Amino acid sequence: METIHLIKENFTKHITNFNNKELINFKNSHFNNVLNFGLPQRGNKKYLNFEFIKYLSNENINLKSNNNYILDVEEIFKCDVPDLNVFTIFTINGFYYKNNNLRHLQNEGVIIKTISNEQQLQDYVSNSSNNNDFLSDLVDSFFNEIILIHIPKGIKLSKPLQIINLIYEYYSIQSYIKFILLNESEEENDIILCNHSIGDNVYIFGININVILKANSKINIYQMQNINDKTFHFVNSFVNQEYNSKLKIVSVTLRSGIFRNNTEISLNNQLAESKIYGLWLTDKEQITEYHTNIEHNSPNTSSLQLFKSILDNKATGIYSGKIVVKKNSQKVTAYQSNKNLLISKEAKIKSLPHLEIYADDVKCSHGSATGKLDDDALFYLISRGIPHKEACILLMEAFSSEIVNKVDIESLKNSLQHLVNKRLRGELEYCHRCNICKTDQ
Amino acid sequence: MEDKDTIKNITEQEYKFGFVSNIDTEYFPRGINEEIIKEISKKKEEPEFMLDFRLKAFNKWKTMKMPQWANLKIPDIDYQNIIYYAAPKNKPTSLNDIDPEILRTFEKLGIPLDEQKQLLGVAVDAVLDSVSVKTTFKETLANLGIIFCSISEAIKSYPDLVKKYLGSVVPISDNFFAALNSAVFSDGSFVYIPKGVRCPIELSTYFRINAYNTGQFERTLIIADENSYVSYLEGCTAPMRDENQLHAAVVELIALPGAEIKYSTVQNWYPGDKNGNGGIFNFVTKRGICYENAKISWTQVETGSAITWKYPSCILRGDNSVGEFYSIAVTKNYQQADTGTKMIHIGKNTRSRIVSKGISAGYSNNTYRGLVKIMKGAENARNYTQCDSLLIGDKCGAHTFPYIEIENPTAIAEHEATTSKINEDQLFYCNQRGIKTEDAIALIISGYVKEVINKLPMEFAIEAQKLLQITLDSSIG
Amino acid sequence: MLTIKNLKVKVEGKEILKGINLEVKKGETHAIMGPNGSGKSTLAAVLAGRNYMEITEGEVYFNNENLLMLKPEERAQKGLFLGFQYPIEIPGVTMINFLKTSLNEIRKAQNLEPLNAVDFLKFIKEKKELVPFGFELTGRHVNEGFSGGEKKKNEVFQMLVLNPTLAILDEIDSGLDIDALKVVANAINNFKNDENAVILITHYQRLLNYVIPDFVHIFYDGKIIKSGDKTLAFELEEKGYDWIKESVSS
Repeated sequence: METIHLIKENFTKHITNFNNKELINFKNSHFNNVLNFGLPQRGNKKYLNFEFIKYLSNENINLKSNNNYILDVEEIFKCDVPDLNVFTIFTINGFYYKNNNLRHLQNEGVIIKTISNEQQLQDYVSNSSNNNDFLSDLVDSFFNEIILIHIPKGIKLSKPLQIINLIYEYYSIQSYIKFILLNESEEENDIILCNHSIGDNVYIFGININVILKANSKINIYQMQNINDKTFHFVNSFVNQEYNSKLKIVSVTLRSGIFRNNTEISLNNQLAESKIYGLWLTDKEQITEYHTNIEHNSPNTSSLQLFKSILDNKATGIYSGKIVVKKNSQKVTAYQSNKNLLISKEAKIKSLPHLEIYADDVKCSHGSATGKLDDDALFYLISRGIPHKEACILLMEAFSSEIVNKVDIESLKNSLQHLVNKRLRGELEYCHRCNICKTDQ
Repeated sequence: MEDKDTIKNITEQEYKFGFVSNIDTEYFPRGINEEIIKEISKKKEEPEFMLDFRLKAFNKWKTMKMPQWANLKIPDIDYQNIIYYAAPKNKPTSLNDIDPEILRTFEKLGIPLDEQKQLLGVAVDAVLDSVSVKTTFKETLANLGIIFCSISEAIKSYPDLVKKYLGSVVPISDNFFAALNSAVFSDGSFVYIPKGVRCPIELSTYFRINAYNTGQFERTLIIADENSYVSYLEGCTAPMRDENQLHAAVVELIALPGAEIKYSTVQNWYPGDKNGNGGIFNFVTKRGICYENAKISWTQVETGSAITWKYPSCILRGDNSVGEFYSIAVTKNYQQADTGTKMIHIGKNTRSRIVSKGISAGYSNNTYRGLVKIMKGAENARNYTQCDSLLIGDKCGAHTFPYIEIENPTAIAEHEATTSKINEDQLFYCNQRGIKTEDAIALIISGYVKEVINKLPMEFAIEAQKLLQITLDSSIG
Repeated sequence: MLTIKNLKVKVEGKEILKGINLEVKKGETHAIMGPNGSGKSTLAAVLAGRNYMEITEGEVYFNNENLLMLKPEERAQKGLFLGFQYPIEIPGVTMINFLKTSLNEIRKAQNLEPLNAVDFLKFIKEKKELVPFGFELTGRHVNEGFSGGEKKKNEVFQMLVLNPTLAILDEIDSGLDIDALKVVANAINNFKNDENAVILITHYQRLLNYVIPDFVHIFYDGKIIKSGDKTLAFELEEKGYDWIKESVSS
């Protein structure tokens, strides 16, 4: 069957699970976009890799429309960060999984709920519309739930909020979820997003995150992916920043078959500031893509991007970043850097650091550097008696640490360092701490 | 703010080369079809293979669409409303036969065709509208075995060379404009440098559009045989007209093992008036191939044209070959430029270097677009790219779109780019030493573009510097 | 020559100069000393016409002309020279071209014929002999790749070439070793005559051993809190800025 027909058939079934009129309208309008714009074609500036389409045309990947698992997730799933003291909430296969932490979080003043009634949709969803884009429209058509995380003014969480998104089934499934993060707090809060798969099946796992940062608010978002090699996983983040809001995103991809991370940020008012960092360690035949689009819609806004990759075996890495400075957005500073290490003969990188600038009083620059490990540094280490392989790992760790060090939560940073090291040694299999995976292996 | 005032005082300096010459011209009817192509081929007394080449290209072109990916707003072009062939009626056989109006035209442009008056060390092929009117120093060059003539003449006199290389670097199906050019090109220059010969003088072509409603489609083919060297210059101007005229050229360079080709362009087609009316649409495909140890260096100073779409490129096929691209692109008023290069590294130890300096003023948009591709077999390939953009005024745009693709772990590619306005501290330093803001801006810009200007041959460098000065004067005022 | 009356200046809303009064006459050398952040460099910048600050009150006359109404280049053309604390690099612009443009602009403003290339180079050579620079000018770009000391020497060299009536030298002595300091001091002494004036802005008394000031002014918190002759500099060196602070608060 033709891919788009398959998607259409799935949607017809999927939409019968909903009876809220607003939600159905919302989904229908996004699905219309899917139909109208069709599958991304070559020449579409947002897409540089079309491997994922074969997942969408696979008739054996079923849409997951209910969750019948009653799992003691906290028991089976201990995240890779043992000493991490956090409030953890879970989603499984696109459904919010209620646990005790919800009450703790409520006590702390954070509101977390699935959006269902009409008023809430109006308030949050319509204010967080995305740019037209096939994969984000796909999530907005097929999500099982919308989860709202609302951090009101003045709230300072006593511990970071961790959201673990799991995909887990004994057969191949596709699953989508949407988050809306509304942050009003001028206190600096941390959110950790961990996306994991359990089991060895072929999955499609799509997440949309709409972030609204109100005036003077601050947030740090840490993202981690550790997903099996057979999965097509994608995350679309759409951020709207208001006056003097500060955002930091650090994203580390350790493993994920085909992974596409798309971050679009609109800096809509003065003094808004974004810093986004990414690190991906890709091997085998995996493909990791990071796309960014940062729009400076207001004067006196600033953005910084630093993305680094290490590519091994037959891996493909893609960085496609864009900075747009709109007319009259004077006094903008924007910086973009992409650095890549190719460590095998068959690895590939595409790097597209793009600048589109329509205001003159700006400081914008970008750099892209791709190469191998520094021969002089390598020689220096070897001459001190360090074996070649070990020296390479040391240098690769050093290369990665620039990103890992952007994590301010000490225990998370240490753990990431540890995971990166294991990953560089080829010792890390996905979810190595999780009981289910352990029994699988 | 003073700076604002200075920039506001933009005065539109007249385009210096905007005059029209009164030359008795023969026109073909408007439009393009097989008959027109056959007529062109017949007019030029071409051998059979050329007509085949043209018709193949035309049939391909009919199936193609104008490329949309560039960062340009291109108004619809009616290809059936263009005259594809216009030529001065009197066909000269010697300098004495040339219509004195043509001689005056080129003299006015500073290109005397009389060898006595020529700049020492520069041979010129002068192309007016669709045909080459005169090639100087031909005999001198012939003594060294160098062929420098119009491509029409080459097709007749050296069909084997033309057949072998024409379309070998830019295939007829390469892109919309290359296909169109392959179908209708009327003239251009041909250069062949024999093995081991260093061409002692600069070869140069001067392109001039004069006729109304006419497209110019010239074709240049340069073959540098093993271990030879040539430096080639290209200049162009057109009269001021309120219509848009189409210029779609193709340039192919072949640098055989050990050869070096230096190709310099000062492009000053009529850019249109201050409101964006008229001007040349400049859609050019320029590409060279380097065999082992060969080198191709493109240098361009782009100040003219309403729209510029060009990406002089190097295919670094042979091991140890080198590609270079140095560019200055200035846009003002409503000009649009989307220009850059492609460096395709295929051979081992291939090197490429890209230096691009964009300056945007007025309401213009200036885009650098560049591809650096390092293929799997290109061991130890190196690329260094630097592109800087300068914005003058708050109504213009400067864009940088690099595409970097690397498939070899021993390769190193570096790209650096900055976009900013003129550094205020530098301006103030100059002001403090008594230099007016306008002069200070010109001074700082001359420093900013110096790295590229230095790559031009001497006579050309001076001309380019003057041209920049004029262009910038009128945008800074 | 220069009269500053009750000059008050704000930078980003903060008052930096809080009412400066100063009179500089022909043939005089003034030294302005004071701790970091006291407003010395702001005064230099305001006199040269830097536009990031806001003048809230006061008047400045330079040869009986309202200085604050003039553009920076006009001030330079009328004979005001600022030696920068951190001279900016201008890549690609040769020193020779820069100096020639500068000199001829100033000559033009004074109704003098511009120097032709030959005369200009001769003139530059003469001036260069006046001070041993120890580095070549030709082929180099404005301040690009100059060491800290070279940049400072380049500033006083330009002063000699342009021959202003008032030279304000902002921390011309900072970052110089003792040999370079002597070269710079010599250049200043060479420059000084009865028709011109020099304002030296400095932290240290060191330079004043070589260039003897007629007046020393001590800046503190945006004001001149003490003026005197050269002995004031010695006193300051000996007792330190704390002494000044104390004498202000007491």
